[in-house]
Amino acid sequence: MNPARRILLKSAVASLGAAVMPARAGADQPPLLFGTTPVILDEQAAFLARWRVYLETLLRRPVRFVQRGSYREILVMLAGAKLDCAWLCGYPYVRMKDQLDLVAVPVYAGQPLYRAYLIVPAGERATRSILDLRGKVFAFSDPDSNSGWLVPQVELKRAGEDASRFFKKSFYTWGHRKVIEAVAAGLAQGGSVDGYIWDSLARLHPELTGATRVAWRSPTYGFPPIVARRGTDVGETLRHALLRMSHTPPGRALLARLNLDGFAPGDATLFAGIEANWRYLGT
Amino acid sequence: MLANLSYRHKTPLAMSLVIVATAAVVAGALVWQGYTQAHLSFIQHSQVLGKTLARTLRPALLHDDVWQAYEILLTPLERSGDAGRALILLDARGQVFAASEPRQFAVLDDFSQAVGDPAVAAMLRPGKVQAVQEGGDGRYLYLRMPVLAEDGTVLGQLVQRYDQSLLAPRFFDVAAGTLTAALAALALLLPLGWLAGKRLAEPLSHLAECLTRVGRELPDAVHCQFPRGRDEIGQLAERFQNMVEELVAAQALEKHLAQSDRLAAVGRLSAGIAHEINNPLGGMLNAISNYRRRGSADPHAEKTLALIERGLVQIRDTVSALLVEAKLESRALTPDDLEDVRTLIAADAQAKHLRLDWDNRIAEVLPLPSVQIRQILLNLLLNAVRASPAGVALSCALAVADGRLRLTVSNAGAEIPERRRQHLFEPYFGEGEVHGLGLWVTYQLVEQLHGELAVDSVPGHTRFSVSLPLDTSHET
Repeated sequence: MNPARRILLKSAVASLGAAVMPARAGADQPPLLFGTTPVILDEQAAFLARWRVYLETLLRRPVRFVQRGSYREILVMLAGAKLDCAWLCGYPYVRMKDQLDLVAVPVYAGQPLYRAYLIVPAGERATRSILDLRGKVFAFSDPDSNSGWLVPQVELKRAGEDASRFFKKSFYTWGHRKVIEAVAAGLAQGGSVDGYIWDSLARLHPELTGATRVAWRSPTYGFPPIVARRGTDVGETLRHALLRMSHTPPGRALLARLNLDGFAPGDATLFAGIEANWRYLGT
Repeated sequence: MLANLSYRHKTPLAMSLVIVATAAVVAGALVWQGYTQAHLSFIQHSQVLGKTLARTLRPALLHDDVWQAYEILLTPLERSGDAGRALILLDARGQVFAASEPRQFAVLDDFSQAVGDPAVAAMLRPGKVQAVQEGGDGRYLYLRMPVLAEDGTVLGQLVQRYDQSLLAPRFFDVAAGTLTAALAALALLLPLGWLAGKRLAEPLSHLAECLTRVGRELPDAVHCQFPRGRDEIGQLAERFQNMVEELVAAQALEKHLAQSDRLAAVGRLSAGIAHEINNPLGGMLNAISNYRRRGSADPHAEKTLALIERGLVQIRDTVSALLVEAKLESRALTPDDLEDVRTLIAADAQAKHLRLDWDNRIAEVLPLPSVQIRQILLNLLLNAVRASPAGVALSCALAVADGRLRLTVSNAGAEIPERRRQHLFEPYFGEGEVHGLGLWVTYQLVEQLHGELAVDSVPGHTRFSVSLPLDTSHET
């Protein structure tokens, strides 16, 4: 254990109080494998390191975050029991509901809900809906993302358009942030992103989001949840640890970094809208 | 203007100009070479980059992954972060697949049309080899690198576009470095060159300065020192020295000739007067003699006649002293003749307590008239005795050398004043002396024997030298 980590541990222990046993006690247990996807700004290695220490302290076992380039890889790992839990998008969650347990749903702006944003370059004033982008270059974030794929697909289908021919060209960036970058740079003339990510980035990197304009906001959907593979026993303790975060200063500091208010137990009904969209598109 | 400028300034100036011009040319060449080198290495570097990128971009093209291509295209740019560089990936149809400047080169745009440059369009014709092309307006440099599939199929092309102004900083770097070096070299070479030029021109201007003095000053007052050498200035300096020496000699000769002319005129005049006086004088003396022979008892008249006769004799003596008789019959000079003179003068020297250093090296009979030589030697010795202060030494040297008899008489008397020296050999009367005809007679005798008479006089030492040719055949 390196000195820096020990200092972090000490501070975490001090703030949690004597009731919490040191993480060392569970160091010999197998690590909790926690998959993350671009539903959060996962390029923050320092943040994940701190969050890991926090969770290790509460869970009394090692935690290992697993990051992959696409949602699909995380889903495959989860299905293959190579992960215990993951922070997923609601779209894959509803598709794999029978294999997954809902652990917690983040609370954003007071609600466990978020929206999909249709964004265009900042100088472009005309676009009001995705239907204005016919024959343009469009950026999707990930084919397994609700906000970054499912929502625009459904919008087009509702308007009677064939999504595969509607755009001159479309491509995936495999991340919401990269959709924003693609639209900001002018590589794509439109893109669909997670509204929470766009809002969070607007606080951290206003120069990036400032180069884009939100042309349309979707109705609310269930916020990307944290799920556990069915058949593991981590769900309960992890939920407890996550729900506790908003009650401790270090937890709140971490939540602030995520631009979240906290975690709620959540309910599968939150994702009914996504499920309905999925089923609509499937028909 | 330039023609009036002294070589003292012109030479160093020319030297400095040459140095500055050389430095400028060398610096220019170095800058040009450095820039060319930088340009070349820039292209090579870009080609290596293009090759690497093309290989990395292959999967993006194969999988139609615009975002991946875009991220790869940005990689080399993000780090350097410089404007003026653009990377454009074209698909097999020449349409933009992704570009680092998407606003300028939008996805699926026709690249050739977007650039609008026929030269670039020509370069873009599909091919498996790389190409470098400067844009028609010269602003941009385009490098094309094909993106090939494993089997060599052309999947697309990577175009790198560089603003040529990117090379400006490199150019300025090279130029600044070269300029610094050139300035340092100039700082070192200019003073050296100036100094060298000055040194080269110095003898020339010195010579010019000396030349201007000739004519303004007396030739023997012009003393100039020049470095020895056989170069042009050395030759000029030698010629100059010769010229000055010749001028000095000519001046001396002129002076000598003037003196000789004067003496000759005086000689002719005095001889003429002497003859004119001698004729009536002889008559008068004969008349007195005849009168006496007839016998005259008048003692009063006899007393008067004796007075007249003494006066006439004195006139005759004086006149005959003026009239140097060269054509006197005389026998050849023997060593004894010279020893006689020594005996004659010994008494005078004794009277003044003078020591006579006698150096007679003549042992044979010489073909010279003995009377004249004896008179010359006696006159010089009498003069020396008279000029010497009491109790010192005077010397006399007699020798034959180079077919000439040389007589040298020295005394330790006062220096002969310059004013007197100019007229030393002229008949001299006055200031209480009986007469000053000794040197006049000596000069006349030496002249008649075709010899030379010279005098050197410094305080405490005066020397008369006589040189007479032994060959006297022309004389009689």
